Amino acid sequence: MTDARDFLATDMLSAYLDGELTDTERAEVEAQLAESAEWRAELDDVRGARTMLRAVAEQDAPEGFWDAVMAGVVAADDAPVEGEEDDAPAAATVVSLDEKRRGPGRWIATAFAAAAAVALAVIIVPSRDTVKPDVATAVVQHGAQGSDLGDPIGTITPVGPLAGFRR
Amino acid sequence: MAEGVPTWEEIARDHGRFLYSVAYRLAGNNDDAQDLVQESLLRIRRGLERYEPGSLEGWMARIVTNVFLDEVRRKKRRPVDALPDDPGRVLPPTPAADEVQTGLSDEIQRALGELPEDFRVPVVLCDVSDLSYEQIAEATGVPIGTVRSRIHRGRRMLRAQLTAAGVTGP
Repeated sequence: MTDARDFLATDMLSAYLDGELTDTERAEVEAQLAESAEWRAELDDVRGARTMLRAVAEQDAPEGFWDAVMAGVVAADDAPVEGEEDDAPAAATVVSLDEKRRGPGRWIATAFAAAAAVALAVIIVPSRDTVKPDVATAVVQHGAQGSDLGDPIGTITPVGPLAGFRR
Repeated sequence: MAEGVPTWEEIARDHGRFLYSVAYRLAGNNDDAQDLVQESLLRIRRGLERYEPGSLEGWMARIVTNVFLDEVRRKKRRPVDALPDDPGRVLPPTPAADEVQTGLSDEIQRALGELPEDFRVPVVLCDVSDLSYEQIAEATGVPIGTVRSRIHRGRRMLRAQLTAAGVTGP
């Protein structure tokens, strides 16, 4: 027998929870749920997973995480990474941002202050006669990393605390 | 740069928690999440020239996802890195065995780590990034029907993992 709900599939249950169904589809799913204990059990399953994951969706990074990330970003070259895709968005739908989704505010200032302090120290504190950066070692290390078959992570890993040497 | 477009520093400052959360849930551990966030910020910095004000979090999530999938593909291209008796080295990153984790967040992280990335990515983009199915389809490059199916199957797998671990609710 052909039924109007023959097109229904249980993967519509997650879409139902996420508000991703049309009004017609939602009505059909609700009618199916009213009739089928199997569907209701599956709905409970996915609802539980969804609820638990969303309950812990956002969390703070551990201490030191952002300092390390910022030091790496500041020190990294601007050269394009091999295999990088065009990340520019095609759509421009405005979505309001959740106010609670705010990253730690202090680390970025700390990271930049640290980078600035390193740069200042390089410029002011050491005399050219007494301190020389080990360029040869840096070149060898950098070359070794850069030859890592296009590793998008490895190629941007700083060789050392070189933030002060950036132009 | 177009008016209204934030700098990458502003993005990092205002959306760092979002970036970390997505990266951590995708990567499965803090070390890989650190690499993921760092590379994502570099791409964000370069991509801001082309960015048009819109769904900022969707755009960021897409970048994080691209970086993550690039790394997954890179690992698959280089199976020689894996030791013959250590198949886990070519599988998606999972929390290190010596990481003592407790609490619901860590139980969920362990369960997510068991999901193949084809399922983990859309589930994370939906439930952590709160993207629409259309945005997830755009970010992952798969049809929206496939996104719907993978989210549902991914959640079922996640629930099964959690149930097996004795986790029944928040």
